[in-house]
Amino acid sequence: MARLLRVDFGLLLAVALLCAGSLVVIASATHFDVTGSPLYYVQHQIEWLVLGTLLMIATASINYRDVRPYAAYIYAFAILLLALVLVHGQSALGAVRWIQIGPFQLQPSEFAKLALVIGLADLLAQRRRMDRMRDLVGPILFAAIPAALVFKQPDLGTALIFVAILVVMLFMSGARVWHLLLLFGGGFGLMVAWIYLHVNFKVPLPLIHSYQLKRLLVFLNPNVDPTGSGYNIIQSLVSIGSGGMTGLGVHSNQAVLSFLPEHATDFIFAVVALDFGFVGGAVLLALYLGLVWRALNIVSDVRDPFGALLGAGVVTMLAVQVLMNAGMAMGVMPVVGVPLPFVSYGGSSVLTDFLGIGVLLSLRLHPGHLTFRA
Amino acid sequence: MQPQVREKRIVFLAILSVLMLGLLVARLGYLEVVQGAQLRSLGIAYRVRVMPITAPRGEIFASGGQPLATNKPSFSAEYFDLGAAPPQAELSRLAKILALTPAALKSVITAYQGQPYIPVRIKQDLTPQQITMLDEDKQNLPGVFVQAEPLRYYPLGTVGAHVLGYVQGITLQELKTWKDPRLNGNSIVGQSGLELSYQKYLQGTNGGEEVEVDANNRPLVVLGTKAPIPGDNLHLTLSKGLEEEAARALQADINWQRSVLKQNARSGAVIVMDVKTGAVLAMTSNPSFNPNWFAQGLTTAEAKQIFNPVTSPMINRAIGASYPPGSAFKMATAVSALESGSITPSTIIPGLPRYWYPPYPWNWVRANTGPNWLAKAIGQSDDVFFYEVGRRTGINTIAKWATHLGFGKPTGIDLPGETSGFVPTMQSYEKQNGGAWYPGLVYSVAIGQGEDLATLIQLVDYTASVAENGVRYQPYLVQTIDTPSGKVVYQHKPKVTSTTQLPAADWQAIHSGMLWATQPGSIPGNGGTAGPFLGGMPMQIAGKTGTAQVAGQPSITWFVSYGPYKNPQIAIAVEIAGGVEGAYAAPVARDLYDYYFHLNDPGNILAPPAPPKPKTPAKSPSGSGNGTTTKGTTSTGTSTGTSTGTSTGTSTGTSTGTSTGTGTTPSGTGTGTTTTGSGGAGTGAGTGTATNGSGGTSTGSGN
Repeated sequence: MARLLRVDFGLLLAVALLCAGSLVVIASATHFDVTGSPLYYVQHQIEWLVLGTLLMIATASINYRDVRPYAAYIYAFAILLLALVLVHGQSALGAVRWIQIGPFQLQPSEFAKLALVIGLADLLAQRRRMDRMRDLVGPILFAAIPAALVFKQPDLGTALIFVAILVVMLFMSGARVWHLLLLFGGGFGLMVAWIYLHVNFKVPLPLIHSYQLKRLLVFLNPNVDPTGSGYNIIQSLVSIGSGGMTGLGVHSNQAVLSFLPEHATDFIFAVVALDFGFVGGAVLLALYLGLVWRALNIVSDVRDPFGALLGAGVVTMLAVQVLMNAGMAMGVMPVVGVPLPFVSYGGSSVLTDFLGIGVLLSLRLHPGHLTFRA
Repeated sequence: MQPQVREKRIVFLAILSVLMLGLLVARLGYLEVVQGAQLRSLGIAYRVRVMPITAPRGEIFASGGQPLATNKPSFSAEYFDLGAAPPQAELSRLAKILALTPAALKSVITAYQGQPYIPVRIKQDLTPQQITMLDEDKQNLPGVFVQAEPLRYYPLGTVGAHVLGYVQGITLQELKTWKDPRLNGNSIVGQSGLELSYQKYLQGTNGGEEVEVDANNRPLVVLGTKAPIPGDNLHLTLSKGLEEEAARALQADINWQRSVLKQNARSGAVIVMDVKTGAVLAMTSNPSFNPNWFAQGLTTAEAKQIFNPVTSPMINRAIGASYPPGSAFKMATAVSALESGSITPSTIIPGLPRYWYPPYPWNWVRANTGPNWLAKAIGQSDDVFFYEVGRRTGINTIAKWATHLGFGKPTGIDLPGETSGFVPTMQSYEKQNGGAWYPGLVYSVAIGQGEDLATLIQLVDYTASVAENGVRYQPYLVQTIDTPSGKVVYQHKPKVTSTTQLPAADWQAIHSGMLWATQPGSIPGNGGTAGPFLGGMPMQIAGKTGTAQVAGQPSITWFVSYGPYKNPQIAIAVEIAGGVEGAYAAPVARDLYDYYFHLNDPGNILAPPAPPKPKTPAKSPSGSGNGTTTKGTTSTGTSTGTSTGTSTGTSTGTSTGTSTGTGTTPSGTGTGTTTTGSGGAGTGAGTGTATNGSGGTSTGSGN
């Protein structure tokens, strides 16, 4: 029982509030989507939340150290699933992201995020030093494999999350800041420059289709293609702008919602802003800030490098998704289709988010002894 | 890694998180608060449609209250431009359902592109099958919807089409020049007839329904409704029955001339007017068109028929075509002469086969008609009498009084497309023919030939003014206009356009001349030119025939009249192009007097077949088939018989004579004259033409 007192209730409160809010917003967003069954999506989301909570409790009760021996297998299994998606996937909206397992549709890229965190934590915790440029090569290649697989789906959003996880975990494992800046800042700069040259001077751009690039860059000016690739962004901005200070209330405006695509998943942030306005959106973001705050607190208390890296990876996974999801809804980031943790409708993402929280709780519940390896 | 370093790095991550989320909150605040209004209105543009509710056009009623132009409920296919051109697949599906070519459909849709979210009408009057097909294919046809809309309907079809006109989608030109705020690119507006001239009254004010729609364009909530205001209603002077009878009688006369008389009569017009007000009781033009075709959208076959350049059914021949009035003009010459004092009613002028001044124009009766005075000269249409009257009066005096009687300018009837005709003067001849004025030109002008041009509406108007002793009214069609709630917004007051002062005896001379013209009997003798077809009428009417030759065209035949002779009420003018001669247009007038005054007139050769009465079996087979025999029973029977007989005989005689004598073109007109004439010797004609070869301008003669 004493152990239970170590549970981070602040963190759980933030998650609980997010989940409760999620049900309200999904109820509002999908009220008219299934004729005659306004709570269709809510009922399913509740099932996922219950399952997620059980999964979280289970994960929390496991000592995270006991998982470490399996880290390589988990990573390999995730790679296998991602490869399987490319071979046998179910397509949705032009991208192949799902595989069918019995009655379930599984989105391996969601679980792969966590697998990458575990694998990277194991790999980086083994390293004595990370202060040289060549120390970074191994981990980068390690993350590059799943990133390339999801990029191939194509799921650029998840690939970017993988990169973010990699950067933060390298950072937390002691890599030099200027190395990271040089590699990732430079890489990003190079990419931007290349795209610039491609757009303006027709320099060939490998790996990415022109329609993908167009979809990616349209957030800079949605009005160049208001009925095509800019449509989602415009409708998202319209929904957010219609909310005003305090919003229009729950399922207040069917028309606005019907124009907003993916209103229960990718663009659910716009529904929050529509229904609850600036206040609601700000409260939502504040909850995420609280969640991140509590999580970082946990990480700072963990003594062993594996645990700390694990925690940092999970925090990054959640925080980056918030940034990308809210950013694309508000037109400051490319539309890449990333769910909002705990709020977007969807089984795989909810379960992964809960698994992440379970990991964070485990870090708290199993402080253990400092184990120094010779 | 040192724990302190790790601690620092965690703090760094924490600060980074706060910063990032702070930026998101700032962005959220900017969107919600600063850009909120702008984004909301952008959203409204996407979601809110103003669905126009088309206002019904004002209706048009006959004097008896029967609807002549009304509206019937129909469904239109409309297209909502969602900001992007419809895909080709959608266009071809839609074209197939609506039976249009994809190209035509595309031009309709793209005509108004650039004003997205305003519906564009693609096709009116959908069939129930088309509506069902559009509904079933809804998923594949975003932007297409079916809208209830009143459709213009003309219950009488072709009858009265020229008066009523037709409606069609507005042109960009009209939209620009009319500057009517009630109109938009989708409006249906009047294109001719009363529909055009009273467009301002008939046009309703569209209402609208502000509807919020979802992304699939399905209406969700009606935000507000503005009821449409129907246009004002026109109440005409036109009598439905008389209008129908005029159209029928004119067609029957044309048929009779074509089938029985083997003449190339092919078109015509009739006007019936109230002499005391100018109210037009009937106006018909033949061939006609069906204005309903325009409302429903013309098919190719219908368009071909309507825009036939030979028959030109779209022209209202009653007001929009002007021809030499021929002898129907002689009352105008008479008025000029009496006004200027160049003759009196008792002035005697000898009737000869030809006039005694160069270019010695022929009288239509190529025989000695003895002494003529005004009444007799009008009744028998003596050309020599009017040549001499013309010479004495002078062309400019005739022009002055003709203009006073309404010739040479539009009457101002409330219809579009009226032509002004022409009244020649000495100056106009000099201008047009390069100084070619010479005194002989007045002779043709005096008998309504040559440069004289008149419309049927001018002729009926002037005839009515003769009946009213010089008081001439402006012809009109619309008696009152009222709003749908019954408030009268316009009420016509008869408008006198000119008065002509003459002593009663002078008017009496003209009146009796016109009565003479309708009397049976021989010429010369006591018969009139229209006698063969008006003899035995139960009511006395006054009339005047006219036959005009236009070079290279079939003759234009006229009959102008008023009745009853004592206490005139209505004037009737008939024009038939390609007819035999003016007298052959008179049966139409006779039929209409019979109809209007409910006369029992067994002599009416155009009387409609009356199936319920079996007691006239002898008449019905000959009714339309054999006009001459019917007349043979009357006293004029012999006269007509001989006249037709001689005319054919002389015709050939003259024609050969002339061609051998001179071989010049003017004699061609001479031949035309003899066809219509009855008397005159063939030999005389031959030599005559040979001597004055070039003076052929005035060879046309009236009767």
